[in-house]
Amino acid sequence: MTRADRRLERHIEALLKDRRPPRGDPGDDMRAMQLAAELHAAHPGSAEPSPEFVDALARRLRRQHDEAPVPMPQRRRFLAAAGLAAAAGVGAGFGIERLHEALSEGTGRTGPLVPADGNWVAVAKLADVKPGGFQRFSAGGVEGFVYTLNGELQAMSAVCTDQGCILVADPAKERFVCPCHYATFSLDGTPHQGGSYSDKVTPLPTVSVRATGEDVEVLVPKTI
Amino acid sequence: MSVGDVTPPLRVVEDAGPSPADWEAVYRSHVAALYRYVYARTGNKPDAEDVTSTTFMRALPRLRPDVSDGEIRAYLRTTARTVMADMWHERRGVAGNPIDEENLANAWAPEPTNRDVEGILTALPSHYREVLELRFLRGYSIKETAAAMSISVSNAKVMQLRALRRAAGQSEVPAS
Repeated sequence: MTRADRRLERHIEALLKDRRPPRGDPGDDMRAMQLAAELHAAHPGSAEPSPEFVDALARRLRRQHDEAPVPMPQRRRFLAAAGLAAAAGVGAGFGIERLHEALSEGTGRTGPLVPADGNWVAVAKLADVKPGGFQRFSAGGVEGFVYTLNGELQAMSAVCTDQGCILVADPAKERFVCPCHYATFSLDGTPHQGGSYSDKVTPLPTVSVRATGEDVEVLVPKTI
Repeated sequence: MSVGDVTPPLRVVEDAGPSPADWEAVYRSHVAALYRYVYARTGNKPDAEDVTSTTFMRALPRLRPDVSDGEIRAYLRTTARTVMADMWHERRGVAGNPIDEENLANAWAPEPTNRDVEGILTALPSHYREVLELRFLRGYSIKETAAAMSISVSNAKVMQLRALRRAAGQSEVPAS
């Protein structure tokens, strides 16, 4: 077995024992490792959260809520949501059918990311946002790009809607490229069609952007 | 939006003071679906629990009070993807550099990953399909898999790697 073989074997063994995979560069096997995760998730019962975990996280969230009041949906809405979850059949076996649901993003635009309580944060100098150029920013938990599109300022999430990898800007072809699964997006956030996976990828969310003086600012959530 | 424009206005959240039971009901109605979403990408329990926890801790205080169930789900998934991106960047040392020539070159490879797991398995030669089904869907150990397929343990080890790579659209035997 080669070094790459042993690395992939250790990765598989970890997933099948429900443990974290070893750290390190996946080399040429990134897609095989991702597929291993998907296959393992199709194992009946393996992808359900344990009741202990659900309760422990609820306690953590309660403590967080007690320290800072949390704005939440109106009662009518969440009652409807809770009813839907019950109708979906809690306790049903999790197999390949459910995996489809877990992997699909639904349809339609993801829409803009509008935080409940946000700050305008300067992420670039206006002079640096040149036509054909891209400025990466990381602010308030949002990873994104600022650039110009048809002569106007644009800010876009830099996180692939497929499996969450950070996108790479490809100025020559005026697109964003995901280094994990090779999804590509046009500069307005629309995923390109063509791959067998492309119907699973939703558009990139836009981020509110403005120019103030010499700065380019984006609207991101306040840091907790 | 034009350069110099200062719109859009920030959406104001009313401090309505919902009771703790309210957000907890939202949490409980979404936690299982988000966990499954994360698990299908991380493939293991500790990572799925960490990502799910971080996502709710980060996202719940930021949800607007007037959003629909679908919007909550979309916001949770967007947050979860960001959390996973951070995790992979830290763990794999990849996918983090904004302009990385090597990543760009790799990203131009034409083969997409097929996300239809059932279709992937059906398309494989029967011995490859069998080894993946036994290992991943039935949870057999390598020894059990080898016994079920009447092959040696070392053959079973190699076969699962080749089957997985082929299913992922990669070359079965890597260059390195």
